[in-house]
Amino acid sequence: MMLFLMAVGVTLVFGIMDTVNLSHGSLLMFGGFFVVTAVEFTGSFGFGLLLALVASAALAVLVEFVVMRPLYRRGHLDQVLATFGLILFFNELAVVIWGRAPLYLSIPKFLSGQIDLLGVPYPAYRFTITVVAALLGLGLYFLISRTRTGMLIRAGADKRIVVEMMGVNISRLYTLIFALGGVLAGLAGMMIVPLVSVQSGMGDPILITTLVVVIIGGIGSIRGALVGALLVGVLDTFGRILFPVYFGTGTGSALANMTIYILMAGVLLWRPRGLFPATAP
Amino acid sequence: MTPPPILRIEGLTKRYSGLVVTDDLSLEVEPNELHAIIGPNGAGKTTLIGQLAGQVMPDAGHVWFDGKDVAHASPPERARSGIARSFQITSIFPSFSTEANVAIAIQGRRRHSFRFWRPADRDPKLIDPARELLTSVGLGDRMQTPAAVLSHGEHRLLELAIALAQQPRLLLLDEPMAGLGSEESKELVTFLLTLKGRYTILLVEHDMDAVFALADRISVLAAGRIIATGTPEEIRVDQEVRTAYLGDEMPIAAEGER
Amino acid sequence: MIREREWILILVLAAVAVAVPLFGDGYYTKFATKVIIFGMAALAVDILLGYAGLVSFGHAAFFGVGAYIAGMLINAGVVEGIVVLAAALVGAALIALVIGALSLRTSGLYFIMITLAFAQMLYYVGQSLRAYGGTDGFALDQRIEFGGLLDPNDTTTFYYVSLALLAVILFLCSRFLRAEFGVVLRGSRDNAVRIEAVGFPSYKYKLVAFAISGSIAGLAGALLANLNQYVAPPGMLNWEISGELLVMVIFGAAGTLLGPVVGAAVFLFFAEILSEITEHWMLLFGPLLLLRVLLVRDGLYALLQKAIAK
Repeated sequence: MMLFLMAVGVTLVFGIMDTVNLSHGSLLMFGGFFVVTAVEFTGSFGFGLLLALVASAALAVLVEFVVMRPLYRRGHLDQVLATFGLILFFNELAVVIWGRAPLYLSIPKFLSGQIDLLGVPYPAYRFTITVVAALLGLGLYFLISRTRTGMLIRAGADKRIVVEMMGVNISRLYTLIFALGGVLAGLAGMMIVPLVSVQSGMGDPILITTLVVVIIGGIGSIRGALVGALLVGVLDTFGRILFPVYFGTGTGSALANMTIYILMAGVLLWRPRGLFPATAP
Repeated sequence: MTPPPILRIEGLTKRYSGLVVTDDLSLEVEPNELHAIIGPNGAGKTTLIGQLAGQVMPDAGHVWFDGKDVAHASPPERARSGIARSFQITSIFPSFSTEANVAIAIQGRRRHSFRFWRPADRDPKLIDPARELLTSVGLGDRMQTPAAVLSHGEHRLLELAIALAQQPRLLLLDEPMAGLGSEESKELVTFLLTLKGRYTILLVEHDMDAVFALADRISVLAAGRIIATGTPEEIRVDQEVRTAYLGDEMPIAAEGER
Repeated sequence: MIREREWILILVLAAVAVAVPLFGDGYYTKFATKVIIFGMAALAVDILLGYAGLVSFGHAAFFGVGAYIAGMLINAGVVEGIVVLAAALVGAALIALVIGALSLRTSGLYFIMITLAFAQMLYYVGQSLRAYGGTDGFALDQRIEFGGLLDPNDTTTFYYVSLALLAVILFLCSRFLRAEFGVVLRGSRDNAVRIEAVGFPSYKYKLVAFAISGSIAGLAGALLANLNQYVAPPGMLNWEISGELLVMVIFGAAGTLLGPVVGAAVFLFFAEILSEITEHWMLLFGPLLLLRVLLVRDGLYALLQKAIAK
């Protein structure tokens, strides 16, 4: 589900703004750092989370304003390179501010127990994440498909100029989308902190997985992002459990790491534009 | 006995998500005739050209070219079998010089281009005919100019020159006059007249003066179907055509601006 | 105009390259060798990027395959340079044929991502090679030899071997990119629809270009394995390498042959200098890259070309 949150952010920016943003993983990383710092600072998980959310949004807006804005009209290659530079910068910045050692955050007490899920004990925190992500997914779907803003976003993806002529401030709209994506990534970062740990560069592998999800789902499709995230998540988990059993630990773990890439290659060969192409070719 | 048609289209059908763009269309083109296709905007003219040249794959039907069904052949295969097309929206190699744009089309006639050693821009077998052709269309003084900076009128000429460089046995022209001024159109008509009889040409065009001046036969396309075929005189007086299309307003050659 | 004067630039660069070992000590020569090697790999990326319009985000794969093949052969006792390098070249070309055949079915962003995905697959393959150190990689027993004629352990000799190989590759590339094959490649970059309409099945041409590019990257990887006498997934197969190669090409100027080499020199130079100033050199380099993309349209080499053309 974490993947879904990331993937939605990337796919929104990708599909709707036709812009590649590799630094999305950095936003996730900063979300993680923010929450750790903020929780320490305020001493409360709730407050910390809120503060970190605001900080993530601010950072996303800043990035959009300084870096992304001049990039919209450039080719994908320029976007890839510029945001690649951004990754390098952010990773190092994180080292400078927070150091190289990973930071930890414990799961807040009221979520630390286990809950009974259809008779299977399941960690409450993971369950919470899933619920939050699902709710956010529904909310986004509603936002995009039912509201005026969503309509504009969708229209903006196809006909930037037309929407502009209708008197809509498209650059404000883009800032909004980017910030939304950034907040989602930040939130994803915050929520996995208690499960893993925060450190510089943590966003990169997640970013690549996210890209795989987005590509499998079809660029710009929220439904695709959801299906892709589920597919990747399930296959990855099963791969990690099953392959080592059948192929021995060496080959098995290699195969497990490769599962999602094989999946992606397969999907692209079958459907070169992903499972749910958002726009007609 | 008349010679067999070089192009025979049979029951060609193309749908775009429910919308029938080409509707069970059949048509024959004789060798060396200039056959014009006219029709209102959205009649499916460009889609038809696309299905003949291979950029668009039909859902059903046959395209017999020289006795072979090429309906599902790829664009390069059809180009090699002798079908060349021009595009309504200029489609050239912008970073190449004008000369190189034509030379690459001549190169396309060779069996393959997996040649790695000799510089192509010094090959007289490519360059000489390219220059000759460019001179004949009136771009002789623009050979070394990067194609991207040519004017719109020059782009239209280059577009035509690329197709001619393929030495096609069937030349598909998709609105060659699109966006041209009246003076430029007249010059182009004069040039196309020099091709008449030497090439088999299927011409899609909105400029009625040009069509009636050039065509041996005209087919009228409406809603994906051919509703009439005949000599320019027959078409002019055809009642069905008049009501369907020519009657109230003459279409203007503005479709190409999109 | 640019064409003729370009010879001056090429001669100057060549003179500098040949003269490097005469100045400074072994440290600089080793650094220069690294520049040559990465320049070669960047050139491989540029064949696709600058001439075929294909953005490969997965060239670490071929770079790494070349390195692994070289390392494995040498440790198996095959130390003859020509054999080792040829094996790396052919091995990488074969892998590139397979990856290219699949990837080229897609285009645009999807192509960028699928090449990245294939490179990641190979990264994990490298990681799983227990016999070859897994993630930690393995050391090479020795460097390649050339029939006992040249001493490869001599830094200067190894530098000149690399330089000569680069020169040969540059020359061959300049030939085939200008020949009919290169014309078709550039045509497919310029206009994907028209190139097919004039009779070229562009997929085949792009695939051959992809294999050529992969083989050059593989050769570069084999050289790097020899230079470092060490092979490991990180630093050879990881996706950052693919990114850095693209950065080098863009820094230097895509669509030129020497641009990527200049770009590699600048990139490695910055990395070296900046990392001496501060441990956090990426902090400076990131924004620098950003500025390059945002502010400068052409690469450095293109700027040089313009400067001498005036």
